[in-house]
Amino acid sequence: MQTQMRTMIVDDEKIIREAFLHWFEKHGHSAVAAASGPQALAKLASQSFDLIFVDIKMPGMDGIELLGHIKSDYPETAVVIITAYASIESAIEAMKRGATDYLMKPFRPDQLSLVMEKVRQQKKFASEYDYVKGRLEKMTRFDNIIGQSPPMQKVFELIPEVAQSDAAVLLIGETGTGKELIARAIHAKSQRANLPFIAINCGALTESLLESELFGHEKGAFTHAGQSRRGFLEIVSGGTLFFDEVGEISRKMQMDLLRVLEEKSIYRVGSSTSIPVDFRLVSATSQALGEKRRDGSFREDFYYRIGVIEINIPPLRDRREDVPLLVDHFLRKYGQETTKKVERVTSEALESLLRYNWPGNVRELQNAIERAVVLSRGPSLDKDDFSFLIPTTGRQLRESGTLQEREKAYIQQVLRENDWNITRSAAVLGINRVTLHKKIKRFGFERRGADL
Amino acid sequence: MKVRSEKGRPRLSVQVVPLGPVDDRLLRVVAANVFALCQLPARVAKGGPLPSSAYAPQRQQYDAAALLKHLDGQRAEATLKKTIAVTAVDIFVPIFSYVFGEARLGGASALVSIYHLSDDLGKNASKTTAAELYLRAVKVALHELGHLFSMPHCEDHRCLMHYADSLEAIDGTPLQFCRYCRAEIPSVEASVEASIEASTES
Repeated sequence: MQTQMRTMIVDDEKIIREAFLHWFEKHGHSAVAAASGPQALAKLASQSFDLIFVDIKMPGMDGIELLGHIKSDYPETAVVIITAYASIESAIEAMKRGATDYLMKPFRPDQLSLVMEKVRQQKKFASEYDYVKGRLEKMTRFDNIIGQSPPMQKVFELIPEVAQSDAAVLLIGETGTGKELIARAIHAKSQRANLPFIAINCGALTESLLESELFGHEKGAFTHAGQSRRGFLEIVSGGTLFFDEVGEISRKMQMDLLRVLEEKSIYRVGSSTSIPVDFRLVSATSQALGEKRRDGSFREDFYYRIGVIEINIPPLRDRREDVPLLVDHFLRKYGQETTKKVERVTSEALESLLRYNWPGNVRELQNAIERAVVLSRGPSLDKDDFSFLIPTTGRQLRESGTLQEREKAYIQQVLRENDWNITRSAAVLGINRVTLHKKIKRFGFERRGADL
Repeated sequence: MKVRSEKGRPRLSVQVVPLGPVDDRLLRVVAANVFALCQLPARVAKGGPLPSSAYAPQRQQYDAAALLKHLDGQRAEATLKKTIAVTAVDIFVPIFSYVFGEARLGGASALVSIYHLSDDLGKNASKTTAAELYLRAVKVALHELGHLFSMPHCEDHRCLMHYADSLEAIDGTPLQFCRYCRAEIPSVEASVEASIEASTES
């Protein structure tokens, strides 16, 4: 009785609903009433409840059926079944389906108090369980990497071992599997943890830019080199360098880096003085380097140098058992960030998420949850909230075209799906509203255009 | 029909009435305790018979909600005059097999039934003495009166507003309000001011 509870009474008889409401009111619990199962489910979709009293006998959806719905979609909500007649069968059925207790109408005042006390105790245990679960969860995650599946546990086991040595590590995994997170974890567990961690996306930089970024340059080494600058290889000074998309490095740069790895010293661009460097190299690639090695665009000796230890990060579709854990994590994360009270994903929605192939891996899942949370209107995410996942997979694989064509088509699709709400569409696209307006103008979209 | 004090101002007061045949001494004990614990003028007034419309033959009990409605219907003034009706019959609300008393938060009338207050079969089957019965009735009456002053249940089990759902619980509750609930009981002076405000508004 000490803790205030959010309660609902579902009964087709008005006098019963009122009697409950008066009782809850005096006890300081918040209470709402529903006259039928569908009404109760509608209320459940928009607010959460700690405890629901359900009359077993109602026209249409009966209490047992409603109990089934509640227990499958809102398992943390306690349900107490109320029956008018002593029916052992229905009571057993109710308890089997997850009812906390059942009361036979009319009951003694102290019987209701006992049930309330039981629910309160259960809630207490549940929150204690959540706490323990939270601690357990910490054990199933490594820094910010989440996974309880055997392949991920294997990766987690490797991280501290690898971190202790100074050997170069090559991470192989599809895009979105969290290669940088693992690189950071290796750095954090190593003796270099207090020194810098510098991540460089090799695919994003041209060869000359990458060279200047890595090696630094002397004043006047090339046009616009107004003053000398230290490169990342120097700046990292004892820390960890992370080369993402290492397969994109040109042959010439591979040779330069190979020399650095062997000699542990560099020359700035335009300088003939060698500077000693000390760093640990972690590289990552999303594509198997086998073909590049065969056609000669990736040097064998460089490959062996950077991949003393290889870690394969499994794609999400090979560790589907981690999906619920990840969904839970991102739900909490975005629930906090957006202050939206989205507490759960319905079992149906989770099933569809488990079935989905996740070509974009964890990053795609993360974006999907963020998008669904931003657009959600209730405390739970349903299958429909993830409907954007299903059509895009088919299209993504089939469709081709230039980047601009794809961008245009995607923006159009998002605008259409969000009813031309600019704020919502911009949130889904991950750009700000001004940018979206500019793009709409540039592509010449019109709200009532024939193509929309 | 407004109750007026000597100075002609309406005052908050409590009247204790019998509903059906009830021992007059019990009514006086209840009124005396209302005065003692709430510092509110309380008196025993003339009651009436039990309305037959409130009787539920299938349950062989009286419907507490119907009785409250009956009591409220007899009265026009709700905010300043509170009624505690005491009855000897068995009363119920739809969800419960019986209740010791019933009142709505902020209502005008409260109901106390002594029917289950002397029925202590669970203890040692000894007859409840009149003094024990009166004390229990007084506790239920003060608890229900608290509801009339919009007071919800209190978490402090040593307070009259704590929810007592059994005779054991009633006997275990001392005859006192906790200091927080005590502060919720309106004083006569405050009620006079409130009524002046209300009358100037209208």
